[in-house]
Amino acid sequence: MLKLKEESNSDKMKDNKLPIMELNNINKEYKLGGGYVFKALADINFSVKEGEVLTILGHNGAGKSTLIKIIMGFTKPTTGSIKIFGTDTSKMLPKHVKAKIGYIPEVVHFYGNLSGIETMEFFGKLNNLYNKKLFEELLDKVGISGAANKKVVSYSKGMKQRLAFAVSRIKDPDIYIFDEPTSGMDPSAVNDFISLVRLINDNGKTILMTAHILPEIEDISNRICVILNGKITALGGIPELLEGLGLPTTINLRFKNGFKFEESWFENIKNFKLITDYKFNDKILSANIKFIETKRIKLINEIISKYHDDLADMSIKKPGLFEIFSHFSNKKVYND
Amino acid sequence: MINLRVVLTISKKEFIGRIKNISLFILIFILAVLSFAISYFGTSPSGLTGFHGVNVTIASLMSLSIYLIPLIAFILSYDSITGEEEDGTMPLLLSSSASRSEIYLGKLIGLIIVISIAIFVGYGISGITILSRGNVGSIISYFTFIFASILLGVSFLSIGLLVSSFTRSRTSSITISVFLWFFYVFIYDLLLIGILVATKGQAMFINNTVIGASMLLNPTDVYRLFTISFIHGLKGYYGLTSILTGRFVLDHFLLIVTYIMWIFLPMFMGAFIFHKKRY
Repeated sequence: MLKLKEESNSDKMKDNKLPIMELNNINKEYKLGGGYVFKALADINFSVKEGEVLTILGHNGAGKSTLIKIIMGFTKPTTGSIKIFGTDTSKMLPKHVKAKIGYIPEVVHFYGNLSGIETMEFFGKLNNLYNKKLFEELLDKVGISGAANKKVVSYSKGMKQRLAFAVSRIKDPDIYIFDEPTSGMDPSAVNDFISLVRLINDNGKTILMTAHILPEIEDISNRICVILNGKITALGGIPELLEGLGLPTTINLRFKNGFKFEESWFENIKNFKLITDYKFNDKILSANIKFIETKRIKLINEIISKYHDDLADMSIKKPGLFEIFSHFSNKKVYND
Repeated sequence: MINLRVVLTISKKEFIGRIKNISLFILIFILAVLSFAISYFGTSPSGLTGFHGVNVTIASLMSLSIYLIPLIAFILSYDSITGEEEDGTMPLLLSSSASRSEIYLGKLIGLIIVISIAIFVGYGISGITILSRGNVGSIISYFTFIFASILLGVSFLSIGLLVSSFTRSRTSSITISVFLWFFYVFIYDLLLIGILVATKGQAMFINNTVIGASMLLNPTDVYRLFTISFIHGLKGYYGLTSILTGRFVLDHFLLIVTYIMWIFLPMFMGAFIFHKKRY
């Protein structure tokens, strides 16, 4: 078991921010026919700290949505407990806790016979809010005020997602829970969504969401939690995970015509552990060099001093969410 | 703690959603046309046509109520919860600050308003005839009949909502609802009569008390008993229940309690199941 995926109490307390949600040993099993048991979630332990953006990643069927359903009180864990704002919500999400949560389900459906503004009014009233001006402002902020009086049945998927976002903001909740909020969105809608998430996070709101691997998600997430086959395989900030995993950065060198590779030099810096691996491509006069991020400056200095007359171009690709996810998912497949 | 404003918001949403149901309009139209026809031609077997007093009209309309009102109630309620689940609107509804009890109660109240209006409209035309030709006693009798019919509708709404709370799809919900409608409206009384005929009323455990008590287990029979018990002079017009005249099952208090049970028991069971339902 990797140390990275464990979250000790000292980790929880190491910054001043308090955990507003704590999941302890969550297990979810489904009984199948013939005495078989499907374990959807196993020993899920993590907490969500105030003001952070925590993103849960995982392949389809990994258990992400099941976990969100458990947190939202739609289903009960087989064993384990959840505390949200200090209240045990393992069996049911009480009203006073629900009042602090803004939620967008994986697939958003509204009452087709209501217009956008009527939908806002309906959910507003359910939350004891009757401020039409606020509802109009919220619709305006998500960019659908022009369609406020149109029936929701005529809305596109992206518009419904924006409406769901506006609805989730009615209560001005302390924590937002989004289940696959970007699924099915076009790139511009994803960008808009990310901007909205940034906006609410900048206002000190906490966000817990499940998502696919997207560069935009990487930019806004303070921490990520990788779930594979119902188990947490990684949990932490992206830089810490990269450091802990030792995932290499790649530098691509393109050389001028007539350049000849000196393998001995590359072997030499490899022996000095400046790089972890290298690969030549003689046809396009290119070299891919993998190295650990801490060696970056020293390596670049070495390359420049050695090849400053031969280099045509140089680019660096740092590992990110995709590499972290691939690392664990490949490992999982290999272990399976 | 139930928040009444939240309950009424859900009731209003349910009411608006259901009132636009075209099948409801068709059933109200059928109810109105048949009630009008029955109030005029309901006594044709005895060689008479036209209005012949409120009791004859009510006795005839009761049969219509027993067929149509449970059907209307089931059509209104069968997908009240499963529909939200299938349409995918339930997660957002559950994530709002409304509790499941408020959602359930709100839906039931919305449906009760719809069926009350449907029954008032459906029996309104016959009511106008009675108002124009009958005396004060007739009007009271007719309103008692309408009230009893609404209670019949409410009890079946309560059952329908219970079915909707424990089923997982519209298909299974409508299947069970149709079965219950068929069972209570057609099968149940036939079974009772069949038992009486088969045993020639001689079996020790099959006596008037048992048969009478058994009738309380069917809300349509409770409706019959309630109506003939509370409307003076109606007993002579009604079949099986007439033989129970003077028996304990016609006790006003017992019938009120039984009716309340038929409304509240399924309601509490449904609310409990909905409360425990997992998605």
